[in-house]
Amino acid sequence: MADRKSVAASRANSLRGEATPMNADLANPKWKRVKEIFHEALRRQPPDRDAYLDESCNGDVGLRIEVESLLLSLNEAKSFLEEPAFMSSADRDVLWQFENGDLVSHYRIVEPIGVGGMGQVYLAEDQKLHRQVALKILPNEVLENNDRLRRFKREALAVSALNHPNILTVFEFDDVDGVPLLASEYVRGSTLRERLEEGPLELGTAIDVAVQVASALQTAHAAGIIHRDIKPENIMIRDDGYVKVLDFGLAKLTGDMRSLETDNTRTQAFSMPGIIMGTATYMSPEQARSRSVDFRTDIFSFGIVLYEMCAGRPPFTGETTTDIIAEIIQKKPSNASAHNPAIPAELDRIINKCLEKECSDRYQTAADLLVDMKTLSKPVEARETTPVESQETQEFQRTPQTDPSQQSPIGGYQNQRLAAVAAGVILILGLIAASYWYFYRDNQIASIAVLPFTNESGNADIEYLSDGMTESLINTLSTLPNLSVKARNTVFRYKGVDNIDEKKVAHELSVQALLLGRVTQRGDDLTLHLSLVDAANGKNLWGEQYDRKIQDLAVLQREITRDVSQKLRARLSNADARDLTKSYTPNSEAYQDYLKGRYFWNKRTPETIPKAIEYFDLAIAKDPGFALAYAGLADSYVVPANRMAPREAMPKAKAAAIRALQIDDSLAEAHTSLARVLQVYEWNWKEAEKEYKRAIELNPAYPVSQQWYRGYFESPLDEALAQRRIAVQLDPLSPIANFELGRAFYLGRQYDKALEQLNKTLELDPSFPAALQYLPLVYIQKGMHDQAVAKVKEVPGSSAMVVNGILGYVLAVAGHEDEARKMLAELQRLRVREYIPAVGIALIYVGLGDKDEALAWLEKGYEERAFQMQFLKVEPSWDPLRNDPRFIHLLRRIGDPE
Amino acid sequence: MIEKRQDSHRVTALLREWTDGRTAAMDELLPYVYDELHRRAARYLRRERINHTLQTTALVHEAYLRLVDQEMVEWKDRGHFFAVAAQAMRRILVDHAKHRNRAKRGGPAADLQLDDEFQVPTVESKVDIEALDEALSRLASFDPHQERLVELRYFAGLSLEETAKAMNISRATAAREWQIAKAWLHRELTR
Repeated sequence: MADRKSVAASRANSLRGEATPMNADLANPKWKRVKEIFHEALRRQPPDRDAYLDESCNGDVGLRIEVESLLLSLNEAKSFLEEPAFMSSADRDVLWQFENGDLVSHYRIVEPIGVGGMGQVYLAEDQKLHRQVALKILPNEVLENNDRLRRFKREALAVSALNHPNILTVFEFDDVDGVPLLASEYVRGSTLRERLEEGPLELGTAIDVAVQVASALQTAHAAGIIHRDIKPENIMIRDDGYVKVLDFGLAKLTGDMRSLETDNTRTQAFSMPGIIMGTATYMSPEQARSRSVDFRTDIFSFGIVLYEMCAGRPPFTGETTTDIIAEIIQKKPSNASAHNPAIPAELDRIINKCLEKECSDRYQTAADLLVDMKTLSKPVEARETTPVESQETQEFQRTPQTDPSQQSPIGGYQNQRLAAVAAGVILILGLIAASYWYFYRDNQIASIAVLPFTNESGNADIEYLSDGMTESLINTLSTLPNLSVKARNTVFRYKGVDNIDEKKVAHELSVQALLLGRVTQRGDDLTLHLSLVDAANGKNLWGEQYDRKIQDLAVLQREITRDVSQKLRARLSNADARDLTKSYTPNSEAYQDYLKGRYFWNKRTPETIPKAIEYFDLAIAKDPGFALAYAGLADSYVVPANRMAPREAMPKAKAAAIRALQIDDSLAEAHTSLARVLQVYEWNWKEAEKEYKRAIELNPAYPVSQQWYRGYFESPLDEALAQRRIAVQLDPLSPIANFELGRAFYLGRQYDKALEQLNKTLELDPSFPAALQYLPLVYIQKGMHDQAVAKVKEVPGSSAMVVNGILGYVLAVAGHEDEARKMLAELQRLRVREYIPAVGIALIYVGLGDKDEALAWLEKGYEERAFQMQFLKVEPSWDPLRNDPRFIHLLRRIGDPE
Repeated sequence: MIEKRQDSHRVTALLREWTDGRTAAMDELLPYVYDELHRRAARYLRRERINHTLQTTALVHEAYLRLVDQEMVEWKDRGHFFAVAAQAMRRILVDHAKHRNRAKRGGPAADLQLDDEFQVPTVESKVDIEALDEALSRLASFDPHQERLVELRYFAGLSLEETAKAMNISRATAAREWQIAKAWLHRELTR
């Protein structure tokens, strides 16, 4: 430090000593005179100027030449010295820290891209993963504060893990020998700043960009992350129109770094002209005042960006930071439409609401903002094509959200449009709008069924698509507060039913509205037609056709979720805002694979589960950050239909579930998968219950968690039974839910009810394997051996009946000992090459009355952690063993496995 | 942190002494400011290019905030500080330019700290900083006020208003003085 100072001092002193000797020609008095004449001359126009010079120089040729040459020089100088030296000398040199080909950590520098958000950015290649990344080199001061650094790391990676298509994915944050690096997704495109410099954006484009930014904010905010520095430099527009918001949380890291230096002098900092300029333009009033900020600071900054995109200039301007800040704090900006008459009044309203000085007057959530932006984007897009229709759409969308006591906020725009249409149309539209509004006001939709989208291609290959889109929509809508959504299995009963009587179906399902969809695919083109039908009168409340490329499937899924929830007026409250429109993967191919996987998983047969696994694996290969695909994979390993040995399948299930949760801890599906592993495999009852509770809290309508929660080991029978009733209420037409209730009756020894319930299940799905297996068991307990034998023989080729020992058991109990022993031999033989649950063999021995063998095989079942062990405590078939100390000891070990 | 506080204490004291008439205090002040700006300049070069003018201004203002205890000084002190900062910036940039020109001529790179951070520059800048520096020194020999003005405007990146305030003159005067300084320097450099 001392050395550097002395060097600097000597250099500074040498500067003062370097002054050239005085120029004798221009002594002070003469120079003073030159200045005076020069300034006076400048105030005159050229003809007068000459006369003035003649007069004032009065024959002093030297003086005249001096002044004239200076005037001439000034004329040429123009921009000379107008740009500060620092920038003109240094900035243009592009002082890149690294050169092409340099290896920084495991990144090979390809080329510099630019300078942005506190650091130089390079295009680089990740040598490990062989992908291109944008590598940002941050100032090493960011390493000074460990807490901030940790928080930033956590935030950046958390927001990135949301996998939102409008949020730049951050891969890694690391420091290499004191150089902090931020590796993120490489985006080909330009920043919004660059776009704005080219000229104003088209209104439609501006709104499109704004919608995408709002969507990113919504997701980040829901995850608890504030951006804090929304500005055109941090918004990238990809060449294909996709918008990416950059640098979430970075402002906090670097901003804190800066404020650290100003310490307690922050208020002075803001009264100083020029300080932290550049960002001041996009500051919120609370930031400008150095007050604490929350999510709503982003809403304000968003408002400024939106204003600038539409109006071509920011709302708060000034020559110095002080001026800008004064405007931000005090001035009500002029309407954006004052600068661009094309801006509709509704857009003015949205912008002004974002720019409210008090955060409590602004949009309270980005979700609310997004809803309004989306609503707006429709008429603006449509306006350029079919004005009359767009008017109609607009009425439909606005009316329910508009306070009828006030003039429509889009009045000006509407009136313009209305002038163009006939009076009769106005009347009709008014009536439609009024009835629509009436419907919503008095009959807010509280229950809905999404019927399976029909596959109109006639191509069975894309059934996964129509089914999958339906299911995804059901799953996301289920998370909406105050809306009851019929579960998948309940509605899938109507799959393939022609000429659906909508009123009748709605009545059967007791819902207020139905959502119908038709999917057609031709080559790469995908068309989805959606309509929302009022169950009371069969009227079409809303309809929309989506024409997309199959590659855009992931985006389409997000769009329809957003649109439908919006149509249902489902606004999320601030507290429990969960992002409905979150996209789990930006990769449409991965999403398609996922849908295919779920399609096969839902069938739950030994033939389809391996296919499901294959597709989930494919999806993961295409997008390793696709949390839902991991959850699907976990579910495939967790169900016994996979016919795998638990010790082989369950660890895989657990790993996949945990991976899913690492990516997205808010996935009810993944918590459920993990809970199931903990419950039926690890017998970790406490942790399993926690996970189930978490899953149900996250999405109470996810039927699987409701069906599995409260098993027979950890819960008293009546509780287990009650839980299964809940599951049926939630999903009344689901074969699985109905079967689970039937099994609960059986395990609770209510055999008549069990029979009734199992038969009900078979009405829903005549080939439901588990129901077929339990029916004969019920008959055995009722002492109706003949019926039991009849039932097992009704379904000859049922491999499940064989491998689970049910066939052999029923035969044994019914007195067909020889046949039963043949089954035993068969199972022993099969056991050599595939997984045959030891519990099934134990069951046959119990039927044969061989307690020792039965207990020995149950012990093997314990060792292999067989799925059926979870029923041991209550299963009636084991009653002959219950008093045996070995059985009691076994139960104790399962109940307390450690 | 402790070191920063000590710096701030010292710089503030020197600034007061200078304002109170001890001109030698300015020379003692310069190294501190030079050092601070030098560090900041290198960092600033890595920042985004939003507004060049404002960035340079911010550079100087931030150095001020960092080095000077705000509660101990008045506006007049601030003007003095900017003057020092402007000189320091001039020094930094001239050193940089000299080093660059030497490197371009193929001679050995001077052992200057700033250039270690600036790396090897390749693009020609619009203004020949070395020539400007010499011309400015000539101008200073008969009009030191103009030298200060140019330093504040061009090297510290202050606006006309800020410059006027720092020099304690009216904006109109600053504008007039700026015109002739520009004219004179431009003529010198194009001769």
